[in-house]
Amino acid sequence: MIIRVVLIVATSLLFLGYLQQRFSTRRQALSKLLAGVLFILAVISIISPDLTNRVARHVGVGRGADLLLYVLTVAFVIYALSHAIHSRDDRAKVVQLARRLAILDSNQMPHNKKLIRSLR
Amino acid sequence: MQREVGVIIPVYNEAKIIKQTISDVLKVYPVVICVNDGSTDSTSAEIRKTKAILIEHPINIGQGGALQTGLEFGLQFPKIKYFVTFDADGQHNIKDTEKMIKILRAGDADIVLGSRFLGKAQHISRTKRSFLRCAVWFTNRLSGVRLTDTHNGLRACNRKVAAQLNITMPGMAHASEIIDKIGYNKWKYKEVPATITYSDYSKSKGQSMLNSVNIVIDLLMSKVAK
Repeated sequence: MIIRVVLIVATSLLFLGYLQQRFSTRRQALSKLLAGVLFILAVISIISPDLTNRVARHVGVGRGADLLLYVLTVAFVIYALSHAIHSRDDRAKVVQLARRLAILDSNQMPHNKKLIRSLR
Repeated sequence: MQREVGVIIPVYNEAKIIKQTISDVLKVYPVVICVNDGSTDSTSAEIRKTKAILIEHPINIGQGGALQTGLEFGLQFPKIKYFVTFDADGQHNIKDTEKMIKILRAGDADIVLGSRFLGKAQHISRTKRSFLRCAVWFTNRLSGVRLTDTHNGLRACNRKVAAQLNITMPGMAHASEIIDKIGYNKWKYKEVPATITYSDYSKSKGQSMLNSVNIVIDLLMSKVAK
C-alpha cells in the first residue's frame, strides 16, 4: 500500500512544518497541541480506514470518506472566516499606517510649506 | 473669520474637475485640505496648481478614510475651529456652507448636515430619488437620528465632533457611520437645505446603486461585530 506510506510521510512533513512556527504564545502552544492530536488521528485513519467507517456509521453518516468530506467542509469555512477577520484587522492597521505617513509627508511637502505656516 | 474653517475635500481620480472645485471653495474659505486618495490619474498635479493643502495617501483607502485623514491633519492646528466636508466632483454649492457655519458658531449644533430634500435637487432621476429615500429610512432606523438625507457629502462640524468621529468604515459606508455616531454620542445636529447639481460629470462618477448592497452589509456587520 504505497498510498499509505505517501500519506503518512506527507502528514508528518506538514506537522513538522507547522511546529516550525517561531511564536511562543499560549495560543500558539494550544494550537500546536491541537495539531498534534489531529496528526495522530490522521495517521490512525490512514492506517485503518475501517475505523473512520465505523465512526461515520456511529454518527449517522454512510461512509468514512463522506464523514471526512463534511468535517473538511466545516473546517474550511471556519478557516476562511478567521482569515477574513484577520485580513480586516490587518487592513485597519494598514489604513492607520497610510494615514500617519500621508500626514507626516504633507507637513514636509514644499507645496504645503507656506500654506501650513499660515495655520500656525 | 473664514480662516477658522477648514474645508476637507477627499479626491479620487478627479483630474478633470478638481481644480475648478477647489477654486470655487477658495473664493469663500482660504483653508482647503485636499486628500488625494491614491488617484491613478493626474489629480495630484492638478491640486498642486492650486492653493489647497495637499495630502497624499500612498494607497487608496476609501472616501471615509480620506475624510478621517483630513480631519486628523486639520486637528493639528488649533486655529481651525470648524470643519466642512465637500465632495470633489463639484456637485455641492459652497454658498450652502455659510448657514452651516453660522449655526456652528452660534453653538446651536455640533454637526450640521446638508440635505438635498430640504433644498433643490437639480436634475435628480426618479430612481435615484427613491433609492436615496430608502437609504434614509434604513439609516434612520439603525441610528435613531431623524434626517431627511443621510448620504450627502456636505457636512460641517466643530472640533469636538472632528476629534471624536474616528471614521473606520471602508468604502462609502462612512456616511451611515457618521450618522450612527451622531446618535451614539448624542451630538447636537441640524440639517440645512443644500443644493446638489447633478451634472453629467457627477452622474457618471456617482455611486452605483448596487454599491448600496455593500453599504448595508458593511453596516450590519459592524453592528454584529460591536
